Amino acid sequence: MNNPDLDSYIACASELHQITLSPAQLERVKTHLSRTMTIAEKLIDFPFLDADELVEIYRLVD
Amino acid sequence: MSKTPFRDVVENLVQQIQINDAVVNAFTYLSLNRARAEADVLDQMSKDGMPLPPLAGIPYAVKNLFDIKGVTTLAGSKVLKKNPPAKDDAVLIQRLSAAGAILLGALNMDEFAYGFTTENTHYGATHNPHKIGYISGGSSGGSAAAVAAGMVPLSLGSDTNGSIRVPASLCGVWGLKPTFGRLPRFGSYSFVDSIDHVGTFAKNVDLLCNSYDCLQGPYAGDPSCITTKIEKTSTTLSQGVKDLRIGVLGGYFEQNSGPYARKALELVANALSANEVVNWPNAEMARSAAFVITASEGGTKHINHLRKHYEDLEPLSVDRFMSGLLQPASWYLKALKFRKIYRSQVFDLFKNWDLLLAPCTPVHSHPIGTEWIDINGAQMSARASMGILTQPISFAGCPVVAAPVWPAGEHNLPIGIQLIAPPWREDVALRAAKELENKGVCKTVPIAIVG
Repeated sequence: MNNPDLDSYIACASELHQITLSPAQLERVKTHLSRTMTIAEKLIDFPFLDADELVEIYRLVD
Repeated sequence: MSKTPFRDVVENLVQQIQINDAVVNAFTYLSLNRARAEADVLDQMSKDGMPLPPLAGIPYAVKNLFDIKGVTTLAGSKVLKKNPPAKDDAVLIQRLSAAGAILLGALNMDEFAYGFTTENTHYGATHNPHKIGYISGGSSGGSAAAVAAGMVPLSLGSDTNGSIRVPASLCGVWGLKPTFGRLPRFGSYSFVDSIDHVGTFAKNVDLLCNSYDCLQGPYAGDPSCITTKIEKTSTTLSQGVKDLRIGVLGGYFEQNSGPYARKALELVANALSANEVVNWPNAEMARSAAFVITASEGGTKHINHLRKHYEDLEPLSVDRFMSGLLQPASWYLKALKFRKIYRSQVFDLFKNWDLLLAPCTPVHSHPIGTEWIDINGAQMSARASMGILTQPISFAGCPVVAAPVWPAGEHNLPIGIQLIAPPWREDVALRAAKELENKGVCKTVPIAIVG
């Protein structure tokens, strides 16, 4: 996979968390993050309404 | 009639465990002294003519993410090995002890519960007792395998995205993942705070039901436990299912179930007279949201391990934890927002249904080390895809019993069916389980392990 933007993001974001990844680690993390990005796109596109506010997020059942 | 002393039962079982576990690799710790002491107390009570507690003498073991007093809690990892021993038992262990059950030890799991196979690099893979060399499922693989191998009749596990239901399915034992918030998690090593459940594995439905009744009850020290009362299920267990509206999940669940799983589902559906196909709302989106939340909360929890011990973490999951840590907040927040909508959609569905059925896993167990599996012609990741049918259900917090089915006969591999009830209605799922056990459709099958 060749995505220099994602490479830069991972390198930068991991440094922000005080973690330096080796090139091999970065490549493996990129594979996972790319997959998650595809999954997350569906969530980004979900037709939320203005009323769909985040309240009491940790309580699943009433 | 003379009864075998509890101490003798323990000694016999320990011998069996030492032989069988050399092959299965379910246990990471044996609490022999404690088990003997607990047995001796029960023997003394018997001798004194005192009434015995409800689970008197039932041997059990726990996934090694539950605190056992005096033992270091590993959660399947190497990096926690140097931590001090736990000061107290986890609340669920305290409750089982109070009910007279005898703790025999701690069980193997995927590191930090992030996996569906229990191929643990540090402590070795737990083998499926029904086919050595095959996966037990995970992340509570040791808990399911120990029951399947007859080493203990009862065990504790945890389930975030399927970690009780997947190994129960692959090992052919009964599993119970109660409603989110029902049982206290206090004293267990968490994985994903907003989705983690704790529950049980058992060799039969009576024990699944009776142990669950002993585990219930509010616990003030645990904000995740929002139950306010004990709702006994043993009193209604044998009521049958005639009054229940039972449906079979189609769509996403059918598309992601292989032929073996569909055959098992058919057997269960016929036995429960469930004819109508039901569409579960937004199942695929729910899996996506659960995936994002799991990675984000899991990665964030382990930030210090990733900083200091990257090379010492499980190679099969460390990069996923790291990826989760780096996910943009917008993904996580969208997933949380979706969950609120999803939850109400699922609750609405249960206005028309009392129980819904779906396979626990898309396929039966496969050889340890397998990378890819075929699900209806699609090549999918073996390790991630085992939770494809469980993830949307736990994301809604519904209680589920995993029921063991043997579609090709008792000498072949098992697969589990999820008996899914509305939130707080574990009693309904357990009633259906009892009905299936009574009819001989679902059961555990004793095995002889050859080392």
